[in-house]
Amino acid sequence: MEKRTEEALRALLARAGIEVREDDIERFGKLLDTYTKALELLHSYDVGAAEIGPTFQPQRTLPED
Amino acid sequence: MAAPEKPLHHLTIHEAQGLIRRRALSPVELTTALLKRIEAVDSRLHAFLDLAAERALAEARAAENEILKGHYRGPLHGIPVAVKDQLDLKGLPARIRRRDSKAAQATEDATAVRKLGEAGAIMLGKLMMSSLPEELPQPRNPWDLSRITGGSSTGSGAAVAAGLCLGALGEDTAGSIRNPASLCGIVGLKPTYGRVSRRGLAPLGWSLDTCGPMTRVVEDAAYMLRAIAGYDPKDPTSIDIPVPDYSATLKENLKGIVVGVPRSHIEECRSRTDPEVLTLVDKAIEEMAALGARVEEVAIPTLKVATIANAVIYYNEHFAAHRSENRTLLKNAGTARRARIYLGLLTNSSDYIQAQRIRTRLREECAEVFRKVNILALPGQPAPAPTFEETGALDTLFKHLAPDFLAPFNLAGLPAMNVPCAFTRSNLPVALQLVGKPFDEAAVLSAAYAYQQRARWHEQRPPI
Repeated sequence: MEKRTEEALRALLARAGIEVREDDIERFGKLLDTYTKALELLHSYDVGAAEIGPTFQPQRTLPED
Repeated sequence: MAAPEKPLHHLTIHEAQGLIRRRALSPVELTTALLKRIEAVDSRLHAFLDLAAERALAEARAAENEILKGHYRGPLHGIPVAVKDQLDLKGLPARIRRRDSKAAQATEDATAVRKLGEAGAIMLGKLMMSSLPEELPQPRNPWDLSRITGGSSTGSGAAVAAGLCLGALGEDTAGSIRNPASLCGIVGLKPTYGRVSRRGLAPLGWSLDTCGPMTRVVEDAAYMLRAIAGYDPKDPTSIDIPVPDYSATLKENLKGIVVGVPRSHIEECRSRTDPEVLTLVDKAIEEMAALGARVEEVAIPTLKVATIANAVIYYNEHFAAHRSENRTLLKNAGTARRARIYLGLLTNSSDYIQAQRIRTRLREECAEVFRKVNILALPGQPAPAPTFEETGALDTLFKHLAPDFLAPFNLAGLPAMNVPCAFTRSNLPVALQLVGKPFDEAAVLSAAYAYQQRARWHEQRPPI
């Protein structure tokens, strides 16, 4: 796993109060590095003026169970 | 009335419903035959997670009594089906929800399951899926037991292909209905997001999860979709749009239909796609033209980042949905499940927002394309089913990080259906994927039906 990915992962795990399995660092290293690179591609994509669409309908209220 | 000429477990829902309606076949006889079939082959297939034989037989007897009294509910009445473990089934453990396999039993059926019951379907039990908290034998592909079924609706794919049930419900977040449907040579439909209630469906990604039918033929999927679709006030993402009679609009030709093929996206995926699959899918598209369709090339540029955007949303929502269990799961769960937790943790809010903005762009581009075409056609899979030996625990997760054929239509929330379109030289199934505009499952089903009636690949059966 690349150093910056590992450092980010350990910091995030600490913040979440989760202990990493040390053997997972090696096991998932390539996958997590690939994901980090894919995130760079994600952010490089020009989305123009696109917004996030509404993910809820405020006129809806949940019925009482 | 003449008895069916083929074994009962080879019947489609369409064939069985005709016999049941005319009282030439008893639901009890049909259910008993399937239970015997399960007993005979499932020790090799591992499709079922929890078999509810007593419930099934009780429901079959009740269905038989109703039908004999003249109360026939419709094409699913007396038809044995099963559901992916992700859907709650009253009285059975929901294993995907808990680490402990003796977990609390579901107290009520998921809405989609309840609706199948209201339509008179017989519930055989729960089917295996990928990435359960506990490691269990994975289902085998009925076409070649050394090969995977594809996931995550693994048991649904195996069970329908092998005749252990006449139809199944699966769930699709990044291809999990369509992938096993392709690899197992059956039909799999991911409806429009919001078409089928998610109430009682254990979440993988809230804004992506879609429950849908997996069957041997298209008309069976039409019957099942009509039963499970519809507004549910208990699901805040359920959309209140009328449910048509999908089986009534199936046609045997494609005259007047315009089929769009996203060639540049297929080219983008070429390096990761088996050349034989591409050739066979191209041939299937040519057959659609022979049925009267006009085939045009279309461009949807955002498809090239749609798979990774889908993955970002999936992993982030998955991490949040299972927040209380993640600490435990990281200690004890299987490899793929643990990997997904790490991927979710590495995803931050700006990643998630960028993915959602890509989602908006994709929807806009698809809406523009659907002003000119009725459906899209493209491959349903990148390759035939690999062997277990060839398959690594993280292969699916790596696939989610590069452009693919399935996940973009989860991101866009569009109805997408895989239908068998060929067999490879090694006699493994290949599928064509058809995609429609929002809530136009009727167009997708009709196009798939027309193709299937001509091509008739569903008449081949696995050797098991």
